[in-house]
Amino acid sequence: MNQKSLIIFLSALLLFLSINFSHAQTQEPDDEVVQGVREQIQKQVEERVTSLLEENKKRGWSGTIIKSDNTGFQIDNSYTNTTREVLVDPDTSIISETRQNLDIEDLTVGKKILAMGYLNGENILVGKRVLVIGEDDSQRNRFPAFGTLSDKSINEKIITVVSNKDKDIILQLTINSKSTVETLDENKVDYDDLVAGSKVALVYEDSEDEKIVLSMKILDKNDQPQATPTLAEEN
Amino acid sequence: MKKEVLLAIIIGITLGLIIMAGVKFNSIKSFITSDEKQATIADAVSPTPTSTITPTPKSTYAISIISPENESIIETSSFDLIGKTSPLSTVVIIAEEDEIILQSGPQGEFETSVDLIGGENIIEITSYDSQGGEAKTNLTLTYTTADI
Repeated sequence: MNQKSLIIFLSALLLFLSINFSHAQTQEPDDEVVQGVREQIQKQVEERVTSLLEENKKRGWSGTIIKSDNTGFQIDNSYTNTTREVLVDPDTSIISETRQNLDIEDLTVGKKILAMGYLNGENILVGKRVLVIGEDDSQRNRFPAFGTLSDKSINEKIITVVSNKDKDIILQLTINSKSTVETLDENKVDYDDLVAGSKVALVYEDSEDEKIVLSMKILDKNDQPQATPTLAEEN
Repeated sequence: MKKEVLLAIIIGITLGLIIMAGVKFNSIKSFITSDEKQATIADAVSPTPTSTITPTPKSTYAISIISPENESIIETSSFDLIGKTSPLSTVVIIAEEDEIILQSGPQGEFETSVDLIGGENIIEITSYDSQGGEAKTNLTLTYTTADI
């Protein structure tokens, strides 16, 4: 009986040691798996925290109503090219263009609105205040430009600016009383002090018959003697 | 007695070695499989170019707005616009009733105060570098003093 027990004991001991040893050899891949799982959990937690933070932020969405019922409406924003959903409830303030209180039924398809409220977890705006705003057909007609002042007229206050990005883009711009021309450190620059070759950044208004400088900054003045000024050629 | 003990040791070692060899084989197999998986993921993320010519990296001239967030509601008539672009770029900001031209700092950072009108404000921000690089982004903000 003792001999048998000893044989079983020794066999079990060796078996145990062998399994332990082989298990220790497989630790490295297990650690990689654990690390992977840990990273995945961390990523999911970060996403959830971001989503929760986003949920409580106030947001303002504008657009044209394309679908409406008594719980809310869908708006289409052609500027951002998005269609989104806004929920309303009896507590939501709905205000007309003339500052009159409206009901949800008054929010009909085609109306342009500005909805203010909070995002819920499904990226739907829970509207707290909805303003009906007039259809704004006026396109923004102010544009930025960056280039080199290549020429200026002596007869009129007209400058020629060649784009730095594309030399084929040549702008002829009028400077008038609406225009502000300054250096980067905000020192006023008169038309007579403009020098060909200067790098400029500007915003101009594109009206029907002319482009007018609204704001222009001289970035680096070229103090080289300038060529005789000529009347800027039409593009 | 001695014979039996020796026999037990030999049996134990043999059995242990067989189990160890089995486990080791499995672990190597799973390690190779995970390596293959990683290689597949890495290939999907950055596919090896089929051509031997090294592709030239595309220009990454960009602009980003740090604050405020797009489509935020602002309760004051002006706000601080904070953004980042390439160092020493020229940044042109066109707000509803205002135009601002400034230069980014040595790290590409820029900050300025922008006035708002009541309701929706679309702010266009364009950045230029001296090499002709141009990057553009828009910010839509709502200015209201009403309780939301």
